[in-house]
Amino acid sequence: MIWYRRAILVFSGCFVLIGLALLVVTAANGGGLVGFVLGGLFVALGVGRIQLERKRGT
Amino acid sequence: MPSRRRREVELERVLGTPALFATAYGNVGSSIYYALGLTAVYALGLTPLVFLIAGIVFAMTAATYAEGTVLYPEAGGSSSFARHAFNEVVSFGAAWAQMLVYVVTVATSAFFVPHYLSIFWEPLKTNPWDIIGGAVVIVILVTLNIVGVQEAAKLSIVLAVLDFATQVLLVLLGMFLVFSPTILVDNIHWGVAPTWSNLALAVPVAMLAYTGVETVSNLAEEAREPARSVPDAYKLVAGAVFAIYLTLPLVALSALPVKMIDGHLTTLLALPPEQGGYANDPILGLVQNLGLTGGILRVLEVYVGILAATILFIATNAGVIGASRVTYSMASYRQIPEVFRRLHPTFKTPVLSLVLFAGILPVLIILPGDVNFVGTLYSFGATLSFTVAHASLVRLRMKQRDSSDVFYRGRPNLMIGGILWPLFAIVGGIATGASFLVIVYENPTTRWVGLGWILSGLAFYVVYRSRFVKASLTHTVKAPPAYGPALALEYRRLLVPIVAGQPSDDALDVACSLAAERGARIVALNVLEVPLGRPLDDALPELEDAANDELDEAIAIGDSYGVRVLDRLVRARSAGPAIVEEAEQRGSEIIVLGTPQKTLTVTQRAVFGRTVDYVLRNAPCRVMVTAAREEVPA
Repeated sequence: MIWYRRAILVFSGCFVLIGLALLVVTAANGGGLVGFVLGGLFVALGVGRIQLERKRGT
Repeated sequence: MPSRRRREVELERVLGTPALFATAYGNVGSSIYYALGLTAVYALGLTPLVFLIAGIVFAMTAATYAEGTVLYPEAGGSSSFARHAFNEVVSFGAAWAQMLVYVVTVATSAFFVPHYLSIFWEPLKTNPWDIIGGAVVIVILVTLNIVGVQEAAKLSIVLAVLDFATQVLLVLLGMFLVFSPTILVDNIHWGVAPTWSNLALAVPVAMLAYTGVETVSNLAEEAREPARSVPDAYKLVAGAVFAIYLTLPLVALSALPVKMIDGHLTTLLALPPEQGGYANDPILGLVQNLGLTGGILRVLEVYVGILAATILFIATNAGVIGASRVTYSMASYRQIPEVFRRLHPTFKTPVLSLVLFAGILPVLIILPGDVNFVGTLYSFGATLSFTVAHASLVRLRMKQRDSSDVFYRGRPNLMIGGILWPLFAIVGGIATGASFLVIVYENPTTRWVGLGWILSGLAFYVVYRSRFVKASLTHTVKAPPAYGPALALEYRRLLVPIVAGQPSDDALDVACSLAAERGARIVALNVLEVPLGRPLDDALPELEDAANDELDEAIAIGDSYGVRVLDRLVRARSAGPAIVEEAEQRGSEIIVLGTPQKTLTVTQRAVFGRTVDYVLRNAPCRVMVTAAREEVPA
């Protein structure tokens, strides 16, 4: 179970990292709806999953 | 003594969530090395969207497999679900489709190994050298499996982690170096590139990226606590592949955009190497178009090439093992002749099934050297197999309408008419069923080869069952245990229920003595009895820890005899019925039960007394009851 929770945190971290990269690169390239939406969704998904896991843990 | 034994247990022998996840990701994660190019051929600029749709269907399919496998933790996947939900003929159809999937998995993975090794010798990327290279890979692996070389669990885990880390690295590199939302939008030419029919075909082809979803089901038989580890492993695999399979195509289509080439709107990802494209090695194509140069590019090329070739080699091996397992399972249920599960006298491996289904047939499939045919043929088998799995789960839910004692259920669900309808299986079944019809309608070669496979298999089944087995097509018939030539009484599958205290250790010692002589396998079963007033999945940390310790000790005792002990932890209301059910599911030939002489506590006597009584009355096989030795006072 501990292993599973750690894996969830690692994968969620990857989601946040990929999302942030999408947002930064999109902004650096002068913006674009696709990049911002995808980046935002990835960050939201990662953060949401981490929050869910923290709630379950408490 | 027990504590000394416990320290000897090697952790990797316990098949839990990490090992299940690593094995599954090793399989599923290998698919991107060929699926990206094959999907781009049909989807062009819409490849990321197609992977997203296929990913959602995969998530629903994974949920169905998780629930089905928790219900029936045995090798077989969709075939096993269909047996319990419908009947033997549907189970045969699913198993036969699954066999096609394994045959094509072996063919595809082996065929792409030389493509990635072309970093050392360019001709390996094209015909005929990729065909020759693929055939050599298949011959090597079939030979190794006949000789009986074991797959190293630790190596699989390391490679799966390395694979995932490399894919994340490529995504991040790609994000910073080439990702462009503008290019991704410009890549799309609705109805033109791709055409609507190609877009429809692209979705089932993209499911090729999810090769290996059955892996967890096939391994569940050996998992300690499938009710927990199987759903967790499936969730992790779904999350990991979703992250990679959505983002890698975004980067790849930014690096290799759709443009006019020879009068056609296409991308280099979709073109064969003869036309300067990367359809045969899409991930190497991505690396070469990240904008890197010089030494860094060369190092990354060599690293990705070797890693991809290694992972595809291991995925081919998983296909070889899968094909032989499905064959063995089908022969055990008398769906195909018993000769297919006959073991080689020296190597103790199923030679005929390995040579035919993992050797000859995959080589025949790669002989034309057509990657698109291989891809669509896989999708034909996979979509059919997935559809049967979804339909079986819906049927099983209908059968369980009054049962509240179900340990795990996938989500989301909808309660109508007293039945908890699994929405994920219903929507997933419609999606995979529609994908199957698209493949059949759109691709004539695949249609005739695929339907020919299914129809010839069914015709063979009808003849075999009616003329040789002389049984109804729909009834389940289990083949008798495969005895050796001179052994009238031989136990190859022993079940030993474990409870705390000496009696179980004694029973395990006896079982190990029996098993050691015959090279047999023992299943150590620990039943966690959950009181009626509490839900079956209630947290019982102290009892769980104790049960896990006892199972660790059982493995250690097996090790000391040189016997392989598979461990299983189940939750039930009562130990007796759980033991009998486990013996039935596993086809155990004997249950070895320990019973005390007189030194038990009140609790142990209460549990074990009625358990032994129940098992003796209801067991589907022989039962041996061992009495513990009494301590002789010094």
